[in-house]
Amino acid sequence: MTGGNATHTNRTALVTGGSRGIGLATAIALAHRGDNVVIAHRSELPVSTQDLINSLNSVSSVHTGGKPQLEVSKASAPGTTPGAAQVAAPGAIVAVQCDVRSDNDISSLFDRVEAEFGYASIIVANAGIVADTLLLRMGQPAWDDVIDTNLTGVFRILKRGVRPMVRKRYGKVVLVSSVAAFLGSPGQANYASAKAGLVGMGRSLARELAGRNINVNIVAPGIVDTGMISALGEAKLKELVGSVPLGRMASPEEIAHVIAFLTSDDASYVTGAVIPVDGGMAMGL
Amino acid sequence: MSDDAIFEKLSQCAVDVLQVPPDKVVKEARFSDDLDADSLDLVELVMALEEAFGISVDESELDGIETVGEAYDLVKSKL
Repeated sequence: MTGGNATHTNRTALVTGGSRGIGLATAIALAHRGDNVVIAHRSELPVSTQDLINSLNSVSSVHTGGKPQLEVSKASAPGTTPGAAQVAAPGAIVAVQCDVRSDNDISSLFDRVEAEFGYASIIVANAGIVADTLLLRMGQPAWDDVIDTNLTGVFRILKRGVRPMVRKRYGKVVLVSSVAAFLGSPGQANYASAKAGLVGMGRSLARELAGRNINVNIVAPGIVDTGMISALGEAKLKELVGSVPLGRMASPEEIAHVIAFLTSDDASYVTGAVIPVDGGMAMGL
Repeated sequence: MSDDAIFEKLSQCAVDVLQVPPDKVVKEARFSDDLDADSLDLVELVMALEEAFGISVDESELDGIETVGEAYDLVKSKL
């Protein structure tokens, strides 16, 4: 159906962990280029994020003749998938609360996505947590929580989310791993295990779905200036940044741009790839 | 639903999902050899059958299903 050179527009992207950091930057980058974006977030949406979404949506309404995006959910009934995309203006961002540890939440999330926009042809699995402590002191809950969210949560999202992609013979999946998967990271055995697991999951899925015109790739960010690194402490952070050839942290946008590329049709021949976005920190691994 | 109606519906799913001509979908036809279906095709077919018949098929029940006739028996046993 779709050749390598086809360019798709008016797509819908789902970004988990989208309320801040890399996820939010990705949502904004994708919306800017015209994709509708559904942000899945677990915790309460920060006011700053809500403001950002509102201002972005008001701009995208102007582009599409002043059509308000957020009313679409009330207007369209579930099941009106293919035509629904025309109702929503391109570039809208909608936030939906969802805990990736809950099958029910995930089910309602996709129902909502499909009712409003049609199917999500782009999935960015970015939701992740940390519970850092040395392995000798790591309790089972710290292990279980991180694996359940960062690894099993991605399995749950994909199991539901790639279904329509297979049917439609088109999809772009990006899993957000980490440099910790390759370098290891003291105090993060749980996190690094989950992030390494995503590489195996992503590459397996890339092989499983290649015949259906679905690209699955993995990005491995290094040190990114988000809330997640605030727990590190200044001294540790300085030491880490010292090991980065580029000599600085990444901004979330610098990760988002790579994800935007991987989910674009420009990257149609890239699948099963692990793309480091780490300032050279783990090069060669 | 009559046996013929069940087969007709199943056949339609197979034609849609596997992109094969209807006359090839006979009970003796083997998915892998005769209908050229790979493992993902079969997963798609199962998903289509689940939707069309409102049934749910467990992974373990798919073991040993190799022909259209066997798939038909499985669907019928669930209605």
